[in-house]
Amino acid sequence: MENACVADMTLSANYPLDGLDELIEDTRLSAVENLDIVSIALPRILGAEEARQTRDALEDNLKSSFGLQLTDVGMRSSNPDKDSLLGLQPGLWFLVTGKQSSEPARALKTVVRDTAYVTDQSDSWAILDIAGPHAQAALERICSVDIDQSAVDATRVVRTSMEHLSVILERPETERFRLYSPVSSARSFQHMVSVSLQNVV
Amino acid sequence: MLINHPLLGLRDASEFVYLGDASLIDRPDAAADNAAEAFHDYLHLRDNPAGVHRELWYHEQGDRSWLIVTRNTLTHEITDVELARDAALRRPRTAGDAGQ
Repeated sequence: MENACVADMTLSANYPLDGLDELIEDTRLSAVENLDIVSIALPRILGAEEARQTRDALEDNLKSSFGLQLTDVGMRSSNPDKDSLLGLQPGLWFLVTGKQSSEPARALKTVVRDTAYVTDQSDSWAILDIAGPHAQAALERICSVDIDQSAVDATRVVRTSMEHLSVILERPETERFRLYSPVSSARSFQHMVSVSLQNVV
Repeated sequence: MLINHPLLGLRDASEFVYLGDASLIDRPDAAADNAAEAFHDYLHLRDNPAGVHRELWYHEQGDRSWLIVTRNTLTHEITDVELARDAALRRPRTAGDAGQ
């Protein structure tokens, strides 16, 4: 159609906690951006031997491409590039890497091939880092899981609820936690952690 | 109340959703001659014991596993927890399992 009026604009996505960087006393709360998150799920296979072979093949693929061990539930593996594999439930993991591709699931599918299903979850999670001497105390106020260093170190991942929100927690460093919560409640998530931190400093 | 998850250790009961009697994993065979009666009983009849009870709990705010928790309904003492998946795989398979 001639004379059609089409706006000359380009859309660009914003991160849910766009640029958050908050220092409360000596503990920092910051949004984490530019990560690819892809879930990896084993297919449902009834035969025990066939299921084991599929899992082994998936592990070989991830080891050769990322140097990451396939972990049990509640465990986390990482590599020197800071990629991590989070064991979230039986037969399901999150692979978290730096931003590598506009289509991370398609890229990962070439690695895992037919050993697993993959789904891009990069836009589904709001991610916060909380780092500093008060980080652990702030999180202990709002969750019921023991997150002391003796229970949760860099080899662990925890999925739990904080107040009323679902949160995945990892502890890459002693005084730094990384939290993932559904993007639909990103601002409530940020508010919850921020208020808790203010209450412990 | 704390539930000793077989894979994750002690977790607060608030992370779980309670479903009910663990016999729900024994779904009747839809092809059996008495299927209508069996499904009536499966859907509507429950024991309500004052004492030891095997029940299904779902770890919604965790690893999304179904657990079978053996709990004393009088004291809330939990004496056993296992993955429902493991219990289901131990059962002898029936014709009714084919469609599930």
